[in-house]
Amino acid sequence: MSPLPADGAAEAGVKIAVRKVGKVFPAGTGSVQALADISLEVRDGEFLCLLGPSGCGKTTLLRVMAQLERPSSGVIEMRHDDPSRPLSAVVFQDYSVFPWKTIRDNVIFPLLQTGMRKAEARRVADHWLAQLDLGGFERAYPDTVSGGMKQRVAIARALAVQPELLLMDEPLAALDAQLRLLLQEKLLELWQAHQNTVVFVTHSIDEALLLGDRIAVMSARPGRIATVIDVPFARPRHPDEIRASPDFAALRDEIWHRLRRELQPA
Amino acid sequence: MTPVTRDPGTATTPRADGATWRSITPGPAELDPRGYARRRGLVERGLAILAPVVLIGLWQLLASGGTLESNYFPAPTTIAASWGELIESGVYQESVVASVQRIVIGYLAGSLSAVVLGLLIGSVRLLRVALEPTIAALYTVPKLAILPLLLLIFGLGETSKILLVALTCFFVVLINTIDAVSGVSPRYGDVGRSSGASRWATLRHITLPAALPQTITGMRIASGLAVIVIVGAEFVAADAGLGFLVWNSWNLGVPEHMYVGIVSISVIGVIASMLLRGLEWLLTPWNR
Repeated sequence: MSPLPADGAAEAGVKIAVRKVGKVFPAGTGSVQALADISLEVRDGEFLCLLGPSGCGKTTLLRVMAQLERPSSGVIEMRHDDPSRPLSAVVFQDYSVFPWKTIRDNVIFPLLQTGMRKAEARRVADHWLAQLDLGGFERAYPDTVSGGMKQRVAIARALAVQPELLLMDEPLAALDAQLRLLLQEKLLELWQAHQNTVVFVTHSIDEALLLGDRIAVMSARPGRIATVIDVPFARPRHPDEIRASPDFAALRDEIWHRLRRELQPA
Repeated sequence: MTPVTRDPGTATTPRADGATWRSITPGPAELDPRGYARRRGLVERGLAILAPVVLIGLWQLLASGGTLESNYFPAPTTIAASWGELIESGVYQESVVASVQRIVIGYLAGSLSAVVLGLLIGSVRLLRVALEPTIAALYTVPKLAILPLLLLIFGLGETSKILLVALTCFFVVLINTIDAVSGVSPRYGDVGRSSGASRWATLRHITLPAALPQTITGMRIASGLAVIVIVGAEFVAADAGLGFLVWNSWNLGVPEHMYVGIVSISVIGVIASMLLRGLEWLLTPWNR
């Protein structure tokens, strides 16, 4: 059945194996190659950042992992360990919180799809809303709260189903710089407590360094993995200390020079 | 130095060196925001009532002074008096009940079936591509033009008139619902798919609420059209109803009765529109 080479079976410690994945979108009379020959392994329990300029296909790759798109070529294998938990949940960039549901009902919605009873779902939803400092806003409609709060609802909604794999598509991109820092800290704290496997798409080098165990740097048009960088900072991380460390500045420079080469075709 | 007041709240003070100080201070709206808003609201509501009262008063003056030809424009007091007569004789109640009944039954049948079908057609792509051109073509047929056909098939009874209202409402609501459903942002669908939502859960929790505001807008437009077509139908094919009252009063040369009918019809239209705004308020609490 499997079109894979013999080593294709998931190795120990590999959560997602991306093998020679390509994605082509039809555009007008021609087509656009969004991803070309991507191979990448996401390890169990790691926080992997997909970093790259806009248009490099990082969102497309995430959407393939989320089973919202299928690859045009190649294969993605994901290991689902616990059938009682969903394999993955997605935090979308923006506008994905349902405006017609209260904040609590937004979080309840995916829980009910897993077959959970309403009363239990409500209890779980309130727990995660409290984790994201949204206690007291359960009955508010999303359009009555700030953008930062809406995005925390989206994060609570994804975390509440306790997925084995958390897929985040620039969840903080629409927020202003200060809110972004605060939510990065929150994400760090939550991840350190729960340790799901995370794939986190971002275009911010700082964010990738602060949050990621590894950073897959992507190049644009067609999207490829240019390099994968191990982030050396120990856990638990403290954002302010990390940002102040000399390693941080050096790594940021290194990644930036690499990205700049990708952005300047000359 | 006395400040040169330009308007309340700002003052310009000339200085010896030729420059001026401009001071910007709170005005009445800022000093007492609540009171200001309340007074403003009172004035605005007062004006909204006063304007039609003045118009009617003017009409009364011109009519009783003989400036307006009373065969065409009877005085409001004359109209009110004949309104009373119509109520006393029971003709008025009979007319209102006949029209409202046709409107309500036809409207509910047409709109509700259109909402259900619209949700279905809008969310099933193959159905949409198959049916949309046909629906667009049928939508553009003026529904009054098929009244003779309905009369031919169903006779002069209630069925033909109720069907006319139903058909009119059906296409307006259908087109708006299909449009609303296909306009739902795919982002919301992505959330549903990644949550593993069933087709039914997607329809119930995502498509329906997302499409609801525009669907209700279609229903409000349809309510206005329902009133328009029933009057047209009653002109030619009824022996009761407000449309019949207006038409018959023309035949009999009783202009006051025509005005009673015309005003009543417009009141029904306003009430229908208000009811639908109320429904929208109830069903879309997130838009309040």
